[in-house]
Amino acid sequence: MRAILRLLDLVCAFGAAIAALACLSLAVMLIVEVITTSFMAYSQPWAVEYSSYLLAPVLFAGAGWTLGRGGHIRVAVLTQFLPVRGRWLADLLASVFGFGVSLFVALALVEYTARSYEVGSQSTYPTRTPIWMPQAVLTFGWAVLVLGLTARILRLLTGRAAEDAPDTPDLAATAEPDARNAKAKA
Amino acid sequence: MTAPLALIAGLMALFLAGGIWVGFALMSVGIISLETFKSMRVERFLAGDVWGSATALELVTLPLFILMGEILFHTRLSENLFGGLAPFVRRLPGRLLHVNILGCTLFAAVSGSSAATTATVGRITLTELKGRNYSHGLAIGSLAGAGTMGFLIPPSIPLIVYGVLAEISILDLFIAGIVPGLLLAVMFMLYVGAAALVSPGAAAAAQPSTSWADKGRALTRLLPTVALIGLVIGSMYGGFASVTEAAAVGVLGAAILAALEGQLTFGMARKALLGTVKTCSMIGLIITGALFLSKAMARLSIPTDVAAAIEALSLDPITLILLLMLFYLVLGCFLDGLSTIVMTLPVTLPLVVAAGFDPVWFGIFLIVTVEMAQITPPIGFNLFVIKGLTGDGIGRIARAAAPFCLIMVALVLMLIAMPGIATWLPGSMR
Repeated sequence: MRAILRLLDLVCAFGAAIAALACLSLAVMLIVEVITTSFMAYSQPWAVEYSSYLLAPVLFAGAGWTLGRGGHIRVAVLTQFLPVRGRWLADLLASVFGFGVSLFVALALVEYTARSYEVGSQSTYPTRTPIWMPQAVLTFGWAVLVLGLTARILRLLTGRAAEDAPDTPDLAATAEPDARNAKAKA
Repeated sequence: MTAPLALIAGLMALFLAGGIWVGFALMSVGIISLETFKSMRVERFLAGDVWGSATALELVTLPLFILMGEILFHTRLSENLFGGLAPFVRRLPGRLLHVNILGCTLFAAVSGSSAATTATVGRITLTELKGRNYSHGLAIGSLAGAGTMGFLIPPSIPLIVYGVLAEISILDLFIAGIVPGLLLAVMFMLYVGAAALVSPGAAAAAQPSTSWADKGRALTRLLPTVALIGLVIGSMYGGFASVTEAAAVGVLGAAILAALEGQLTFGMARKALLGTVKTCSMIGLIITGALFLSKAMARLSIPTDVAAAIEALSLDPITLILLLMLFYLVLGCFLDGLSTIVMTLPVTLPLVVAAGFDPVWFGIFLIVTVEMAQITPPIGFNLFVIKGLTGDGIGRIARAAAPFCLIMVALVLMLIAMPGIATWLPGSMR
């Protein structure tokens, strides 16, 4: 079980790394774009198109990793009043539900991407990028989210803590980045 | 109530109460209602919609503004804000308490998040104020109130999300937020000044005025922040750059600031990027779910049905908007601001527009209303942030924030009475 969880965590962390790299590339590409269009009268012909392709992994490749850090918003007003056992059950049900939804989306995206590949769809921009490539990156993000939820369900079933950080609002955790990191290392 | 609407409202309440993640709840309600009432290939429609949302060009600004805020969070910006502002408020009634408000106003202009604004300004001011025997209630209350300006003063993450959902210009929304934001800052400062005059113990004793040399030195500490604000907001409003370009310039400016302070290390970049990924993932899931549900509801013609039902009541516009304000305040007790906006907008926006309100105005109205929810229990993100900083109980912080919450109610009423507060500036710049 530990090996499985480790593998799943690793995949989620890999997804987060992809998302972080995509974010960095997006920022660098657009900064370069602003500089070259302002001062050199040159525009990267792919800037607009690729910024939208990079957005997809920024938004979704890290979704599985974010789940493990309590980063996704949910309503805890009612469930917090349940006894420990009830809260555990509610969390398990919510996780199974989330697993079902994300699996539905991931499979729909697999089909969608496969169809783009078969038909040979290209982007309408001058680059004529085969559209299945960026779609595959988005599909990867949702697949990682499915794995993140799998890890969560396994953790709950084996009596482990489901999240690294407590279920606090997102930036409250950022308020003490060092504490959070220390916890992540421990 | 029509059958689809009853199903959607019922499932939504059930899923949310059960603690299902908001993004999944929105998406699944959309899937279930379409599968129930329409014979169509839902998965095909869903995949196309998720792809469209994940690559929407208007959303590209989002990671950039978030990254900019994350980088600035790791610089010495908060120390510099305190050091730069403190010499100028020594003689005002309330003294250094005003640093909370002015600091939040300035930081809000480089950050799109209320929680980030509260955390960045508060981690320095709260310790400094405590060390100088200021009233703790006023210190945390003014921070909680002023922190909410992070959403109102551009750049603003919820305004970007609102603009994408409402399909209106994000630049117009950004411009519309300025006057109400500054007005709120002035009202907060007036209140702090008045509170200090009424109970002299609230603020520390008068200190000798600082010399002009000190004031000059203080100003140079503010210079980098002010330059960054000028660069980002100025380039946008001056029409030199699109919102996306301004955001990219902001990231560059923030990175340069961090580099000048010697803080731009690999470890810091990693932290800032992962922090950005975390926030973007959260918003990505919610907004994708919301956009899908809103399309599903449109296919089931729910917005028009609701609009017809409300029209049959023949409410006058002011009553409608006051009812909506009440509705959002109640909803804010259960949901965070972003979820509230994305979940209700498909129905409320057509309603409000049909009643003759400007969608830009409604965006600002909505932001201030959900902002109040950020500082009222039981779900107030800014309360949690301050709790993280001081360790006070949520109830204590909420009580301290209550007067500032009332000031925000006053602002909403002013917005209703004089819509020009929000619409004048964007209108005059067109």
